[in-house]
Amino acid sequence: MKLLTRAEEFILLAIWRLGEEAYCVPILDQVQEVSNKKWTLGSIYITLHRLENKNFVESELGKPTAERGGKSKRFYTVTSAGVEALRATRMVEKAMWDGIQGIVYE
Amino acid sequence: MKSKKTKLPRFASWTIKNLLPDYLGHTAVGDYEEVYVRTAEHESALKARIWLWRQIFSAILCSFFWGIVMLKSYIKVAFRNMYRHKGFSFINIAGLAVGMACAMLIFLWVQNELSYDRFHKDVEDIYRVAREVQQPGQTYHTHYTSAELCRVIRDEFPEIVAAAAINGRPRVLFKHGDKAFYEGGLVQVDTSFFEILSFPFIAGDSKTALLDVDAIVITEDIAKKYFGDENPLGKTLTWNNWLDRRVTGVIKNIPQNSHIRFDMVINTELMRSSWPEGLQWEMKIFRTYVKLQKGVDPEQLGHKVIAAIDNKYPQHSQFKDRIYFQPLTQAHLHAVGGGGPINYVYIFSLIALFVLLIACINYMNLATARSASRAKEVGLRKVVGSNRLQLTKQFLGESLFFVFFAYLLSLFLIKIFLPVFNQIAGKTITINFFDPRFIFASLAIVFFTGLVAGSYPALYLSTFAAVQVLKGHTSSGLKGAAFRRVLVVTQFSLSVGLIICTVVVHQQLDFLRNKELGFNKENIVYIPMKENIGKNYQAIKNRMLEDPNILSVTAKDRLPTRAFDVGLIDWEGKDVEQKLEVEFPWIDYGYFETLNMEFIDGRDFSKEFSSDVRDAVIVNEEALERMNLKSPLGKRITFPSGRTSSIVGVVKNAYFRSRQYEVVPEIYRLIPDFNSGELNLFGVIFIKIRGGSIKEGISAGEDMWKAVNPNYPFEYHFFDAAVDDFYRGELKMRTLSDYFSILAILISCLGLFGLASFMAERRTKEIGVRKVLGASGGNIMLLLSGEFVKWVVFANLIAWPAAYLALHAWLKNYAYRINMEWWVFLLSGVLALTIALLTVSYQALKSARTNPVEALRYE
Repeated sequence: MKLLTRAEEFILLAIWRLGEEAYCVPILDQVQEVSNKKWTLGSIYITLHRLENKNFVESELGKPTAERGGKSKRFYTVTSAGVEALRATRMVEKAMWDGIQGIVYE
Repeated sequence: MKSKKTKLPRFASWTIKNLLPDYLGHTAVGDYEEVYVRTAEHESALKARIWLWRQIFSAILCSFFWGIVMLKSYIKVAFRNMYRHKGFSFINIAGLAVGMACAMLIFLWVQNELSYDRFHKDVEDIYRVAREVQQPGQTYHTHYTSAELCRVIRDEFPEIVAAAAINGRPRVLFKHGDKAFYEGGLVQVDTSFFEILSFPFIAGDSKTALLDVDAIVITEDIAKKYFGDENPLGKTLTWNNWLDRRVTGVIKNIPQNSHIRFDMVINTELMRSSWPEGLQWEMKIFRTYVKLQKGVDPEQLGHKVIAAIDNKYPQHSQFKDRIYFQPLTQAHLHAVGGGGPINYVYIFSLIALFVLLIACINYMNLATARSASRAKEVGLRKVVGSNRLQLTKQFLGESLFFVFFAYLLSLFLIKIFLPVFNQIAGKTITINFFDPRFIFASLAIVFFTGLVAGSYPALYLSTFAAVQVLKGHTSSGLKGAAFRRVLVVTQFSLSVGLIICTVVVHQQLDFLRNKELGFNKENIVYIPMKENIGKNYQAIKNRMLEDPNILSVTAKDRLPTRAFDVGLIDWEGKDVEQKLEVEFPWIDYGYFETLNMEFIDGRDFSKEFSSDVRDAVIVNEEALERMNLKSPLGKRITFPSGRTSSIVGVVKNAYFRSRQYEVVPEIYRLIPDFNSGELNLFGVIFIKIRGGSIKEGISAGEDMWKAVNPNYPFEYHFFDAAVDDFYRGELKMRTLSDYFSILAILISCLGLFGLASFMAERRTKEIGVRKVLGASGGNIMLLLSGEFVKWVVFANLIAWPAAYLALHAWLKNYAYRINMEWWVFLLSGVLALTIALLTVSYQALKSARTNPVEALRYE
């Protein structure tokens, strides 16, 4: 079974959450907000590239827009394999945390 | 939003595009821009900037990090390989280093040759006047023109900003106080000379220095020689004991890369009073330099000049030549009418390229030959995820790494050999390792060599399929071997070609030097004439002849090796259309006898015929041929001065000057007046001394000289040295090309040696088995060397026609040339073969003599 790294997990979830609007800048914002940490755009690209190679995400070139000086955006969507991987990761995590007490209170 | 801040700095977007995969580049720039703009708007421009640069910086660092991790591995492997195969590495690096050192030395030389005359201000507007002389059966180009022509074009054409004629003066004795020296580097020029050619002045003003007739401008060295540390301005130099010249300017020493050379300059005006005829239209003894207005087309101007002379100076039309302008920057390398030292620039650049190529081929050969041992590495790298591009980069990098090592070594070699090279080439090239041009050129050489040498191994090795290789199917086989064969053939073709060229060039130059000269240059000493000598010449001659060691004494108005004034003549039976420019040397009785020149018809001048002084001339074979006379004796010749004389004899051609060119037609006359100024200026006395007692003869001459001419130091020169001077340039080139061809062959052999020893090593087992099965040492030798012999023979077949064509083109430059002989080609081939065989057989012998047991135990 393929487990996701934390960065991959962050980004996949961000894409899922953003839905139609998932291109790099909102992804960066989302990830920074959730992790409360500065990320470089470069690290987003690298992770996205890796995810794409693993077929966890698909990307599509958007229409060029005037606001970005004619430079188009690349939109990402999570594939079913990606969803599968997220699910698996979540289950492993859950199994790890199961029965652990005294660290977090829900 | 359209403000400048919305755009990313160019460097940033460039970096982003280049660091990210292609498909991301464009959108990524957009992403960065969006965040950048947002930060700039919501927070501040400064923050946006800081954010951007941190992003870029960390991206670069990150990419470097991975690069460095791999680089470390590559370097480690390169070092290990170098260390494990010490012999091959040595051959590679030594070959490359020698090749690169050659290439860089030649580069320095070429750079020096191309830099000639470029130090003048506005050099692109400066031209040298040349003319094409059309004569029946012969057209030639010359850059000798008359002072009158210079005056005409300066006065008539507004396009010409300035024009100056320059003319070398005969050797002069200069005195200042008790210092007296003969000076050979004196020239006379028009006042505007320094306006055109900007030789820098140290003292005095370039605009006014030459205005006065008694002015003289000297170089630093001359100033030092006569005046020491005193200020030379305003000091006087006494000319031949009678004329005072006032120093009005001191210029820097003439740089080595100037084709015009002189030490002292005077105004041509002096000639107007002493020898006005010299300034006439027919006296084509000056070189003329002009500065044109910007944007003037020299070709059109040339046509205009010709047309104007036709119209305005019909009296000169009969001397009409096609006048044209040669750019000053070409004056050194391009002889007027084509050819010239530029050929050497081409030849040497080609040799540099060849030598470098041969060294590269060595590298390729050894690298592919070693491919089997590298195959496993390639396989493993592929397995852990290297792609082909990375491997290509690795091998190219490795060759660059080797080349860089070689480069460091070659710098060392250059440092050592530059003085030797300078001595041979007659240059004063200095090398500045920090000169940006040198750094640029040497980096270019490093990259060229590295990429060429590494190209094949990189492409070849990176193709290995991982599975095959790791399974042990090292098919280092056919493709590699075939390619190596091509390389060895190329390499040996180049080497054999160079050998053939070297031999033929030798033959041609020896032929020129030793071809029957038509005169005897041995045991002859000449003394330049001086004032007083003329009127005492007869007395000196008679007294000298009394000395038993002096065989004969004669005189000529100019050294026969020096170009002479030419003029048009008329003769009985001349075709109206025909025009013939000849030289008219003045000689004393006994000239032909002293130089052992043979007559083919008629007689020498003789005192028995008193009319000879005014009424007789002797022509040379060439003149006779050009005049197209059947029975020359008694035919009358009319000179430009109006004098007519009849031909009394025909003398064989004598080759006093470089035999690259044909002999000049000459008409000899007897010197009527030994006291003429012309004779005192340029004349020489020839003394033939009994062989074996040269010293005694010269000292007798010196005594005589001192008695007659106490004011002038005695000087003498050997005639054979003056004649040999013509070949000095070519001899230099010959020596240089010798060294380079030897080096090329040496490098080829180095490579062959490496290849042979590698082959022998690879076939150790095979050799062992063969020996066990009864092969003799001889068989093994034959087996190993036979293969190479085949290639070298094949290389010969390619090299021969190529060399033949190249040499054929070169020989066309010579009026007198040898025929190429077939044995030269064969000999060069055999020589290359022998060298190759010797190289290979050392290795073959070694493996043939090993005990088969050792061989079979191997591995």
